[in-house]
Amino acid sequence: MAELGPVIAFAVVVALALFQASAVILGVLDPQLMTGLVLAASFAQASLVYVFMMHARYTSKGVLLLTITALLLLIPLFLALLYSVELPIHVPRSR
Amino acid sequence: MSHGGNEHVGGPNPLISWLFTTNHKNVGVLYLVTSLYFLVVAGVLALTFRLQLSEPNNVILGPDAYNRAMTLHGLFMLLWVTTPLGAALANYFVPIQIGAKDMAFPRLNALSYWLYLSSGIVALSSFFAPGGTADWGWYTYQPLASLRYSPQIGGSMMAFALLLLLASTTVGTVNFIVTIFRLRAPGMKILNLPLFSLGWLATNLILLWAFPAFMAPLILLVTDRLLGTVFYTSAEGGPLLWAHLFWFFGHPEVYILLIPGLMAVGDIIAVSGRRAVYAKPAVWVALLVASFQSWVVWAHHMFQSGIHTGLREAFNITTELISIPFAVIVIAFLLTLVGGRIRITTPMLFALGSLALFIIGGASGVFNSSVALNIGLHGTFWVVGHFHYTIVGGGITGLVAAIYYFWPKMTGRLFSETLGKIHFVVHMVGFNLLYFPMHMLFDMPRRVYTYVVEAWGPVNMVITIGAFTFAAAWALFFAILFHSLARGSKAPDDPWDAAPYSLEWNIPSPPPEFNFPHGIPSLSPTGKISWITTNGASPSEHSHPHLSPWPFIVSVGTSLIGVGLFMSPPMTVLGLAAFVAAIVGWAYDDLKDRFKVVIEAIGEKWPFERDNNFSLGMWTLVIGEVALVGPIFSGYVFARANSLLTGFRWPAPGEVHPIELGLLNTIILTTSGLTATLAYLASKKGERGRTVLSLTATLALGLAFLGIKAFEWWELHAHGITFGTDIASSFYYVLTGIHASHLLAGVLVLPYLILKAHKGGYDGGKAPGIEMFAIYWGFVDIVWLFIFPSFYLL
Ligand code: HEM
Ligand SMILES: [Cu+2]
Repeated sequence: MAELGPVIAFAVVVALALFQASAVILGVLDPQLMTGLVLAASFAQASLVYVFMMHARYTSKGVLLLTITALLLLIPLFLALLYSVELPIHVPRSR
Repeated sequence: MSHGGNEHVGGPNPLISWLFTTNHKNVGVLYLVTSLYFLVVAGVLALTFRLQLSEPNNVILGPDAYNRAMTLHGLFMLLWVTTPLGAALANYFVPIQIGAKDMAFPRLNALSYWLYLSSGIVALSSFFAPGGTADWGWYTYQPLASLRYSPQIGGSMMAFALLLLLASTTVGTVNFIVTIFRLRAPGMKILNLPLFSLGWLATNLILLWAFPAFMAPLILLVTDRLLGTVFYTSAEGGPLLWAHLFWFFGHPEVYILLIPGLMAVGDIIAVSGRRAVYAKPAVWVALLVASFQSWVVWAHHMFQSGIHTGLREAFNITTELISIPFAVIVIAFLLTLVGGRIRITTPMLFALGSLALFIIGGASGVFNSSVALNIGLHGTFWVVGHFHYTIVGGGITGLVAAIYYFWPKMTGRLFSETLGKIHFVVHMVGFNLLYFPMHMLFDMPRRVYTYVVEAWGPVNMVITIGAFTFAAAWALFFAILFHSLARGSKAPDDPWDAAPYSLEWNIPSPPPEFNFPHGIPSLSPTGKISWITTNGASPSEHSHPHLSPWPFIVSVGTSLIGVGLFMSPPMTVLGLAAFVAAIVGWAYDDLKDRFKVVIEAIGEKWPFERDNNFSLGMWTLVIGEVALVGPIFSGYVFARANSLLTGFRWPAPGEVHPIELGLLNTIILTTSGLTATLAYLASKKGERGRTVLSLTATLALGLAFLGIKAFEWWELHAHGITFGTDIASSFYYVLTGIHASHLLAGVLVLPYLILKAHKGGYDGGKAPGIEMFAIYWGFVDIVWLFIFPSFYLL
C-alpha cells in the first residue's frame, strides 16, 4: 500500500497543527517552551510532507544531497541576521 | 553567422528558424551575440564616466548622469554580460562535452534565452523612462534606492528587469543541472568531464541558490517601491536588511562570474601543454569547497556597516580561508604546465594572461578581508581595482581565451593567429593601464562623480587612457572574429590536437544538429572514446525539427509587460495577451504531443539514477526556491530581533490574524497535499478515474485555501491594516502573497492536468506532469507550514 505512508503523514501533520494552535490559544505553557514546541512541530510537519508526500515512492540520494545543502546554506544566514542586531541581552545592564 | 545546427533546422525562412530554434547550439550562438552586444553597450557607458573622471572638477557628466551610467554599467557587466557569456559557451559546448544530443529541456532552454533578451530590453528601456533609470549603483544600497531618494519609475523598471533576468537564469540553471547530471554519455563519470563542464556544473550549483537569493531582497524592494511596504524604510528592517540579503547573494555571484572563465583556462592550459590536468580530483574538490565557502563570507562587504564585532571577526576568518581552494586550483594549473610541450597559441596566451591577472586580484582580496585594513580600503578605488582584476582579469579574459579556443569548432573557420597575438598584447597593456593604477588611488572614494584633489588627476588620466586602449582591444577582437567569418580558412575537426581530451574535437566543425554523427559516444574506464552505433537517430527526430514559437512569444509578452507596466497600460494588456496565448499554445502542443525532440537519459546519471528528467527538474526548482523563501524568513527573524531594540511591539498571537482561520487553512492545504500525492500514486498505476478525482479534489481545496486567504486580506484592509502599516504587516502580506501566487500557479495548471488525465493522457502509468505537480505542491505546503506559526501563533 503506497498510500499508507502519505495518509498517516497527513494525519500526524494535522494533529501537530491542532496541537500548535491549542497550545497557543490555551497559553498555559511557558512562552519560551511554547515557541520551541511550536517551531519543533513545524519542522516535524515539514519533514513528514517532504518524506511522505513529495517523495511518495522513491528517494533519490542526489535530491537528498541538494536539499541538505540548501538548508545548510541558510543556517549561517539566519544566525548572522539574528546576531547582527545587538539583542537586549548584549546591551550593558546600565542602559 | 554561419552555423551548422542551423542548416538542419531548415525551414524556408532563416529568420523564423533563429526565432523559433530550440537547438542548444543555436541558443548558444544567440546568447553569444546578445551578451557581446550588451558588453559593448556597458563598455561605452564606462568610457563616458572614465572621461568624466580623467581630470579633477570635470563636467562632462553631471552627478545624475554619472550615477546612471555607473549603475547600468555595473548591473549590465555583471548580470547581462559575464554570466550570459559563460552561458553562451556552455549552451553550445556542455551538451557536446558530456555526450548529449541536446539539453534536457530544449524549449525551456530557448525560453531562458528569450527571457534574458527580454529582461535586457526592459532594462535598457528604463534608460529612456521619464526621470531616467536606476542611479543607485549595482549594489542598490538602501535607502538610496527607496522611493524617497530615487522616485524615478526607471528604477522600478530596472528592478522588474532584474527579476525577469533572475527567473530566466533560474530556468536555465535547472535545465543545466538536469542535463549535466542525467544526460552524460555511457562511461562519462563526473570527473571525466573537461574542466569547462565541471566548472559550469559548479557555477550552476551556486546559481541555483544565488539567483533566487537575490530575488528575495529584490521582491521586497519592488513591493516597497510599488505597494508601499516598509522593509527598507522602517527601523526594524532598514539598510542593514538589504545589505545582508544583497551580499548573501553578492559574494556567491562573484564566483559565478569567475569560475567559467577560470575553468576554461584550465582546459586550454592542459590542451596546449598536451598534458592531463594536474590533480584534477583536487581541482574538483577545491571548486566544490570554494562554492560552499562562497556562502559564508558575505559580511566582508559590510565590515563598516555597524554589524556586531564578533560577526566581523568571524567573517574576516572565513574570507581569508577562501584563498585556500583557489590557491589549490591555481597551483594545479601551474603544475599542469610543468613538463608540457607547450604551444603558444592565442587561446593559450589569453589563458596564461587571465591566470596572472586573477592571481593579482586574489592577492588584493586578502588585504580587503582584514577588518583593520578594510577600514582604509573600503569604498575606494583600491576595491574597484581588486574586483576588476578578478572579474575582468580572471573571469572575462578567461572567457576570451575560451571564445578563441572554441571558435573554430563553432564556425568551422580559423582566425588569424598573428592578429590574435596582437590582440593579446593590446588587451594586456590596456587592462593593466586601466586597472593597476586604481590600486594607487587607495585613498580616492569610488562612486563619486568628480573630485577636487589635484594629486589624483594624473593617475586618473592614465586610467582613462588605459580604458580607451582596452576598448581598442575589444574592437580588434570583434574585427578578428568578423575577419575569420568572412575570410578565415576552413577549420579542421581538431585544430588543437585535443581529440583525446574531450568529445567536441571528435566531431565535425561545426557540429551537426544532434552533435554526434558517428553514433552515441561512450567512454571506457581508461577514458578512450568509442561510438555506439544504432540505426542512427530515430526517424521522428529528423522529421520534427527543433522549432517551437512559444518561448519567443512568451518573451515578446514579458517585454511588452515590462515596458508597458511602467510607461503604457495598453502595451501591458497586449503583452499579457501574448503571454497567455503563448502559454496556452505551449500547453496545447503538449496535450497533442507535438514537439517531438525528446532527449533521453541513456548513460551516466549519478547521483540521480532514480529520478527522471522531469521530476529532477521540479526538485531542482523547488530546492532552488528554498533560497528565495529562506532569506525572506531570515529577514523576518532579523526584523523581530530588531523590534526588541526599536521598541516596536510585534502583534500578539490572535491579535491581528485569527488563529482559527490559519488553522483551517493549514488543514485544507495539508489535505490538498494528500490528494495531490494520491493523484500521483493513482496515475502511476494508470488508474484514470482515481487520478481525475484526486486532482479535482486538489483543485477544489486549493481554491478554498485561496478564497479564505482573500477573505483574510479583505478583512485586514477593512480594518486599516495595509502593506505599509508596519514591518509585521509588510512581512505578512509579502510572504502570504508569494505563497498564494505559487498556489495560484498550481491551481491554473491543474485544469490542464485534469483534462489530460481525463483524456487518458496518463493511462500508460507515466505521468511526469502529475509527478512534478505533487512535488511542487508539497513544497507549497511546507512553506505554509512555516508561515502559519510565524504570523498566527508566535
Ligand atoms: C574569486 C574572485 C573574486 C571576485 C570575482 C571578487 C569580486 C569582488 C567584488 C565585486 C567586490 C566589491 C563589490 C563592491 O563593493 O561593489 C569585492 C570586494 C571584496 N573582495 Fe573580492 N573577489 C574575488 C576574490 C576575493 C578573494 C580571494 C578575497 C579574499 C581572500 C576577496 C575579498 C574581498 C573583500 C574583503 C571585499 C570587500 C572590500 C570592500 O568593499 O571593502 N575577494 N570582491
Ligand atoms: Cu565578497
